[in-house]
Amino acid sequence: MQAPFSSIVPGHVVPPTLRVESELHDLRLDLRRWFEKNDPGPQPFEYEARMAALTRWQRQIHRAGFVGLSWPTEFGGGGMGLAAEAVLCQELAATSMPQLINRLALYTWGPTILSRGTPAQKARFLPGMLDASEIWCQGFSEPDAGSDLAAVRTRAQVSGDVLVVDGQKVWTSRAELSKWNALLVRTDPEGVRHSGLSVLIVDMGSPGVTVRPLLQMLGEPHFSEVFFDGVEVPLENVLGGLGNGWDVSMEAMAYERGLFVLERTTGLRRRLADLVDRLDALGKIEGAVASLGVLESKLDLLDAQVLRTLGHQENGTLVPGSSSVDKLFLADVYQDLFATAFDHLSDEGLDDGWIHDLLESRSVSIYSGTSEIQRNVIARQLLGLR
Amino acid sequence: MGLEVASTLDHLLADHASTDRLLDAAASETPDSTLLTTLDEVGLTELAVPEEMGGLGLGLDQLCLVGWVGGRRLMPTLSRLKMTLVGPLVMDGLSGQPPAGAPWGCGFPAIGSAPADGGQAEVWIEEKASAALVVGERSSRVVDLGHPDSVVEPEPGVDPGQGRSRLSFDPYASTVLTGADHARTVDRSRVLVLAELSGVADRVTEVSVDYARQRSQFGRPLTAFQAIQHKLADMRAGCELIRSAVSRLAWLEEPRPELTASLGAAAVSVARQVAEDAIQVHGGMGFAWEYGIHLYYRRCLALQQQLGGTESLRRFVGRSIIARRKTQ
Repeated sequence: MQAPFSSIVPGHVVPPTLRVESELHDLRLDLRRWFEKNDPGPQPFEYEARMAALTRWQRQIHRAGFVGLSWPTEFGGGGMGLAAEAVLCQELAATSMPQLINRLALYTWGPTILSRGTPAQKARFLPGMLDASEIWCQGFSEPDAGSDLAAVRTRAQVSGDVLVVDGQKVWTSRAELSKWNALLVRTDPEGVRHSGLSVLIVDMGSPGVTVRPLLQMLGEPHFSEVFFDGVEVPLENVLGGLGNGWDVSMEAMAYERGLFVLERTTGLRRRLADLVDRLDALGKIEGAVASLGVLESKLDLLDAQVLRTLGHQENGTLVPGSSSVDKLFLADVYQDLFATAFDHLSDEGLDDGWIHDLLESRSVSIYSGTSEIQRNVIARQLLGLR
Repeated sequence: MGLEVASTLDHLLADHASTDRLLDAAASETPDSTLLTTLDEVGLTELAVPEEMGGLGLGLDQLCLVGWVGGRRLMPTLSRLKMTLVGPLVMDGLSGQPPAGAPWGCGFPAIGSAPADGGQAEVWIEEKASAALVVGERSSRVVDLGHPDSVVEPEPGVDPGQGRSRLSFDPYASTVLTGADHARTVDRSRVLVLAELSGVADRVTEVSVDYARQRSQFGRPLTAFQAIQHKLADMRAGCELIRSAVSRLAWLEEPRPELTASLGAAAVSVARQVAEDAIQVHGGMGFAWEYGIHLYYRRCLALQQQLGGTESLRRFVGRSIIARRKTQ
């Protein structure tokens, strides 16, 4: 019943987390000074204006030299460790616009290209990610392949030096703003399930690409259906080699759990501070002290989890499947925060922003792998259940 | 060093803290004094004492490894208190006290609790103890248990057999300890509560997975049912979160007592849920006395109580974020 002690790896019992306290003190001060001087003010509520403002904001931060801190300098990065990115996220949280519009590129596909891309791909795609001149989206889900991602049917056939793509993706976030789509397609029609898939980098301006915005429950065209009708993609835009699409996608997902979740966390910290201010202004804070304590402690726990994941990423010791814990708990904390805010503000003080965020929070347990799928991954990969 | 100690502790507890013996201690509401003496003899009380004071001076991460093993094997509460509090505080404070390896009583400073000068304290006491350490945030008191005003009332509580008692004493007849390292020692003792919780949660999850693999219903092992798989996955996720809390605190350059409180408040809730799910996965077995799953649940509840009352701990964390917001 009991695993012998010799089988326990002590490094896994108390693994080092990414250190963000004393290190990089100068960077933190630089960021704080710069953000104080350049804070753009509250983001516009209206969707299109908000997207435009967020794009300008990332460009501005990039010009100041703070985007891609952990990327190699030869591709316009800062050549620092992941801790620098974590410090950026933390300091960004204190601003009025605590997010980077191109985060999918910065935190998911940039690292994947750095790991798996050809020299030409790195040179071509990385710079536009940093300055937000080229926004990225990700084409995974299809009408009949949501949680069951390996069931994707969008096909790409090699024809000379191009691949010809036919099919349909759905729920693609920010497709209408995007220059590039990291598209999971079936390149081997004989391939079964996880084999025969590839990731293509598709120019959203190519002939044959049609984007049809879908309104999500907030009434915002946040995601779209994307149709591919004989779209030609150069063979050199295959990421990580033909037929390796599943591995490439899973690696991308693992990156997504690190900095991406940290970035979400810092946004939540900002909203928790807003909630404290709001309750204080309404004279209702005394009745909410314990609830605020629960939220703060859960946020700290989420932070601890992400800093550990980042520590593993930096040391190359990330256990496959372990970052599903980060995503699962992110959804829990995210939804708990806005539900709690609703409960404390529902009789007074509930403005459109809180309603927006509460409704939006329901997406967190669905996007990039539902909470049920995360539990399947944990059961399979961490517990070895089948 | 920590690894050797942890390995030794694991073997000792495997031999001397079987489920049957743990159940005996719980049923008789009496600490297992043979086990406590055995653990004293291997030098548990010296681990957290700095080298310059003659201890082993283990780093916090190493102490957490030891505490984690203790959690897996449901180590006696008194052994943890002697390792994390009696050892370092008595060495750090005045001389003339019984050595840390002798029988002791010891309290635990709940977060956000009142200073321990009211003459009343919750302590864990072993047989033949001549003194008890009542631990406060910045200072502690050594209470002479032979003093006529010292009265000990057993209060076994949710995790019986650990020697938990209510101690009434004359504060003016006690000796005050105010070592330079007092606050740091107290913070570490709280981190060690989380390390123990991490061990408890890990072990009870392993036990539950093993049980679900071998238990068959409807002609299939329980692990074939997604309802059970998801419960086990939630338990494992909980274990990872608690481990992350321990890691975060163990690797800080400087202690951050507010973060200890905050992560502690979150971790105790997670651990409790893990233990509750473990009982559920075990079905009737989980509710049975002899199988001992309740011992893990009891330990989780007891550790939650020690760290601080649920509501007062939450309010403590809530007040600290409000205060921080107002000074920004």
